[in-house]
Amino acid sequence: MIVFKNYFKILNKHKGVILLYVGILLLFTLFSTQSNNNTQSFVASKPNVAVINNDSKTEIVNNLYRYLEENTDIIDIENNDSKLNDALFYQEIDAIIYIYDGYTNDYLSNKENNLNVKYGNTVYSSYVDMILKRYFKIADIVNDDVNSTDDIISIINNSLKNTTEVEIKNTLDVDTISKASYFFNYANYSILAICIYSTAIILIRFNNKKIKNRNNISSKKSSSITKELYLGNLVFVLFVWLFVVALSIFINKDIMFTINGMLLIVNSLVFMICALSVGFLIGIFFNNESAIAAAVNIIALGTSFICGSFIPVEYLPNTVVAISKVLPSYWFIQNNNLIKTIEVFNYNTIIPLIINMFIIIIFAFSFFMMAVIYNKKRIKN
Amino acid sequence: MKKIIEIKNLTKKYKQLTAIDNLSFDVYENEILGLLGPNGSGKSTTINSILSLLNYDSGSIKIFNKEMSPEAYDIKSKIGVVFQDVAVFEELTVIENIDYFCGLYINDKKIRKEYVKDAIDLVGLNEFIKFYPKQLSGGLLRRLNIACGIAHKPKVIFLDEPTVAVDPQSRNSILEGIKKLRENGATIIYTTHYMEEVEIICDRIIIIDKGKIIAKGNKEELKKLVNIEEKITIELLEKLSNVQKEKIIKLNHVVEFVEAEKSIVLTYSSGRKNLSDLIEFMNNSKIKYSRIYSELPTLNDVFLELTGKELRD
Repeated sequence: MIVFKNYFKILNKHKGVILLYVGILLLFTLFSTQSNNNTQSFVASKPNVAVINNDSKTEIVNNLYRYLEENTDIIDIENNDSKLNDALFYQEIDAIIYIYDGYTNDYLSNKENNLNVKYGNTVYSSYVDMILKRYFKIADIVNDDVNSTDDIISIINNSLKNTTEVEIKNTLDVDTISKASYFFNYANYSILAICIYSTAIILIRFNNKKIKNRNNISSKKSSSITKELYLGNLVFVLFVWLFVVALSIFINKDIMFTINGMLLIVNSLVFMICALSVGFLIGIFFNNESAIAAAVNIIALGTSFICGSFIPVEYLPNTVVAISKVLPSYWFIQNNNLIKTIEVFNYNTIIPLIINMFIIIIFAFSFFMMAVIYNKKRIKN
Repeated sequence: MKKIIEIKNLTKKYKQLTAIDNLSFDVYENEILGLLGPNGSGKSTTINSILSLLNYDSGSIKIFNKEMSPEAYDIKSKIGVVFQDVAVFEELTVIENIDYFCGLYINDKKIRKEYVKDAIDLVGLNEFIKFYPKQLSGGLLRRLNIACGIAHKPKVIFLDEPTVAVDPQSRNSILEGIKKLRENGATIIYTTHYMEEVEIICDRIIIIDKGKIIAKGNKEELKKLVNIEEKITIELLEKLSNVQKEKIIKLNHVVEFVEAEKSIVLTYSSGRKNLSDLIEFMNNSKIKYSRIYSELPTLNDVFLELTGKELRD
């Protein structure tokens, strides 16, 4: 096993570069633990409205105004049609509520008292409608049975105070699994960089014509040398994978032992094999260290950027996403993102993951084959 | 003497070019065979063919009486090669490099440790075992290259220009090492550009040019092949007249007369007492000289005569 032993001695001399990539992974890890705090408590957001009161400042109007103050942000805009419409158009406000002259009287005398509301084109506009409907449903019912204005106001306000606690039941610790998923997304860079660098550097050394001649004239079979080199690569990559997994467990703790966590780990192993194949290809194509360093930067950093490792694919232009689909990193990251959303594990939720992993394996196989064919051609020449 | 390597009618062609043309020669046990030839003569192609690093078109190569092939691992286990270019791992120390290349042949760690130590002793790298190749001088690097090629104690060693670009101290150390290898029973095939090295260490010499053997034999046999007996140089104290020059040229056995600023060199084709005859002539002709000395032909003269080229061309 002299070649296998030598493999690690050579890599040991390059530990500086490898540790640099590990350091980058740790940095990303730190970053991922500091950011992406997905909250699970929700606060109702308030739409912006303009309220134009053409009626007197009666108790009924004041009560409606107080209700609107509590549930919306009332923006002070001059009562000017042009200015109000501009504010609506530029989405400074989500609706304009006009309280018409005589509204109080109509309300108290049980007449038709629909307010004129102008809605904008924002998502909050419908929310304004909901807020108004809630108020008027209660106000109309109360008005039918009660005569005193103070009583009406009191009953309306008491009824509006009734709220229902809504608890969203979730079996998945979304926050932690998201962190774990981000960790593996960031790991894309370091996994690729370490696998490509280490595999390629070893291949360059052993494919050096002078060293190769020495190995070829020795009594050790070429196939045995190749096997030991492959074994070295495999052991090293497994070691790197175990390190990544250990780091993910250290950071994300118990979540890594859930099905989601395990799937993230399996997904990373599949990707690791693919990264190894990329390393093989680079090592066969290039024959100097500078070219390897350049290849590592272009491939690891480039794919991390365009495949959604650093920036979510949702924010990337469609053309970039289309390009990234021909790269294994895209499918690896897609799977990480998918895994963090799965709550129920059945055929329908698992099959997309398996398809993505299969695509990564096809990439790995293609890269290996390209490396083997190119190498055979080179030897023949 | 026992034949170790037997090469018959070896031919290797690169498209139109015939790199080796029907080459046949034998290498005998425990000899140092010098393989000489100008650049592009076919030396390296011959060695690479023998080592099965190259496919050849026709002929046969037998080592230890067995057909050599890329899969002849039992033969390979007895061969050591020191290539012209230093072939070591930059990331490994001197001792790690030797251990690796020895490990390609020797699995037993204990034996290997012993062999590695012997190799280090042989090339005199004891003080540098923890050094990395980058930290070694050109000469020390060559010594490391040799140690890597011979650490497994091979019976046949191919040394391809092992002393190129090394300092005199390292060269002497390398040559001493080669002699020791032979003393330990190895058979050596040695190629070099340095004639003086061939004269010192080789038992037999084969001169190759344009893929063909143009001469082979020991030093004496080769020197007999050329029409030179000796060269006599006279360092003059005064200029020769034309009459004196003509008289010198007409002396017995003189085949060449070369005049420099303050000296002349005469080449003799034969004759046993040329020097005494010349001194007598100089004295009688009252030609004043400071020194006069005779040189026997060197292998370089032989090489030049046979190939028409300097070995370093």
